[in-house]
Amino acid sequence: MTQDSATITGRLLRLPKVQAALKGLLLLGLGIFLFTRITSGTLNYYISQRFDWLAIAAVLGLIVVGLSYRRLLQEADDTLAAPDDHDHSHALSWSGFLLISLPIILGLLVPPRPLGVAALQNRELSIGGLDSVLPAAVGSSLVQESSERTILDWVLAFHQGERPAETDTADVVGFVYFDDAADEAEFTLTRFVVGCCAADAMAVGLPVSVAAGLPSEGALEEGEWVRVVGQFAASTGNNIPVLVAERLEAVPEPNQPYLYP
Amino acid sequence: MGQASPLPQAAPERTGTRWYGRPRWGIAAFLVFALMVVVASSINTPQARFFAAERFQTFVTIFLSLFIEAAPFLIAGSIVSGFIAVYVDQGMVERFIPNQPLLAALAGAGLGFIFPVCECGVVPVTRRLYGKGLPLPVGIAFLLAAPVINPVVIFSTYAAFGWGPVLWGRVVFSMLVAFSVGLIFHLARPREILLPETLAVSDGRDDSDNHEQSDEYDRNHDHDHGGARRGVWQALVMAGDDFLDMGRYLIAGAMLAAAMQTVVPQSTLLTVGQGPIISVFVMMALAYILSVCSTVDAFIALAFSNAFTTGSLFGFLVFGPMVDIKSSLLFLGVFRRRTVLYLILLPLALVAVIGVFWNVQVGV
Repeated sequence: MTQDSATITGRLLRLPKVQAALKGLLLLGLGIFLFTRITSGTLNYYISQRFDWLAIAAVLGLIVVGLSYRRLLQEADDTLAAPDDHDHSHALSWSGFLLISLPIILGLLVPPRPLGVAALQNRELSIGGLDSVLPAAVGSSLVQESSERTILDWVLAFHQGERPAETDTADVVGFVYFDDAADEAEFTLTRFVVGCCAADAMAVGLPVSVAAGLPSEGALEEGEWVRVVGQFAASTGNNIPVLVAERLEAVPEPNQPYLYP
Repeated sequence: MGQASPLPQAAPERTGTRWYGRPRWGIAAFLVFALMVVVASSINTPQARFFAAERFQTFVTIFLSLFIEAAPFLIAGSIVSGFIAVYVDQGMVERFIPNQPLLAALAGAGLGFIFPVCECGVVPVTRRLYGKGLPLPVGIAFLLAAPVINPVVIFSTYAAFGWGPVLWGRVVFSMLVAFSVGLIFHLARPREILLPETLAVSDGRDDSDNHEQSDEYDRNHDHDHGGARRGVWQALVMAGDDFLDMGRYLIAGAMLAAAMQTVVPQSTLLTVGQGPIISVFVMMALAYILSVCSTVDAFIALAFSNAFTTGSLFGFLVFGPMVDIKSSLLFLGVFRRRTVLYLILLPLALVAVIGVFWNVQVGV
């Protein structure tokens, strides 16, 4: 960092005006980046719907704060004479600017995608029988209409000891995951459940077997989003019933890729 | 370097660029480490190429999600901090905060009810209050307790666990740990604990010899931010400076947490962690790595509530909000490195004792 002050760019960076301009732009940039994620509908790849308003507040905050540097920029002319005095804790170095622009850089370089199969590699997948699903407290808001239930609703219902009736028809959307653990099932229809942000995502899944005449494992690609309509067969051993798919169709990735408890 | 001489190097801000050499090295090292871990772990797998890309994608998604979730709290905390900088003067802090150490630490632990902030928002506020002469124990107790002792978090814990030992245990033990750690720091001198730039606007009652310099520095500071005209826009500029200052640590922390999440399988930790003692440490390690915001960590803990005892859950619910990867890095922007280590280890030890004691004595 001693080179910083030696090079021309380093000296340039220490001018109050340059600092103020870059800081203002960076804050505006972060605000605009966040704003584009909101308008492009990809915000919920990252955070739960419940917190959308927080992201909007952050955009406003960042833009207001960023714009306030404009005043500083105008007044910087007067203080330009004494740039050395300004060199206290608030001056950012090039690497500081780079670090803070990382969310923008990474966000633009890597196209936004929700968590998928790769994230399952080191996460627990809660197939209904597993004890560690979401709690009874959340389950109180359970959807009763069977065709409207999500994977999470079914898993919770099974977890609470409910058994599917003959007439129950499940109509669920999720992505395909080939889980070695479930042998009778051809794949596990999986969704991530997000409480707050993708960092706390938990996976839930229903084992699915495919009725005769439908495309089977070979035709399905891992990570592909599908809609499965069918009824549950009683399952042996494992206490979660296998969903027998009577209809299986590829669907585009939903706008809300995660489920919320 | 952090533990250098107890003598204050005469006004560090005069030595130009020196100050930012310190934290930047840490950040650079962490960044390189995080990226290396991600890259290395992906290349080892058989389907190397594909997985490397997929894992990187996951890494970016988790990193951005942590950033986007924390940014609103950080900017809110920074704006509060900016307004404190402009509108609160030292006299006010001295008048309202009790000087008696026990009361001070207790006040700090309860301050979260007045400023409901989570672990990202609390750091810039505390830093600014230190600049205004807040006593050390109050700030530390506030920093550790506020992420739990606030209405939002208490409500989310209630929503997850209902009335019961988990809820009140979380509140009581968080208060207790924050209070104790705050009290321990009563013995320390601000100059040994805080970074020079945190103290820059302070007149810290322990450094009377530094008094005039600080005052002079204070004036320079004001001058640089727009002469004698103080006001809303100036508070906002300071908020921006604070956000960018703290943002560096937040981003480095979020990258590290995301890297850990992409690489360390949760199941390894969980299968290792049974038994009354190990399980407490496992839950604390998990909380540290996940770096989830304290407003929702109760729901995560719920997922483990069947596999783990209440004592172990305290490890997650009490320790996690106080320190995790993200907040340890944020602390580096306020405290000296050695202090940050204490701020991790003291709560760790205390929470471990509480958790193990609960597991062994109370059971369930």
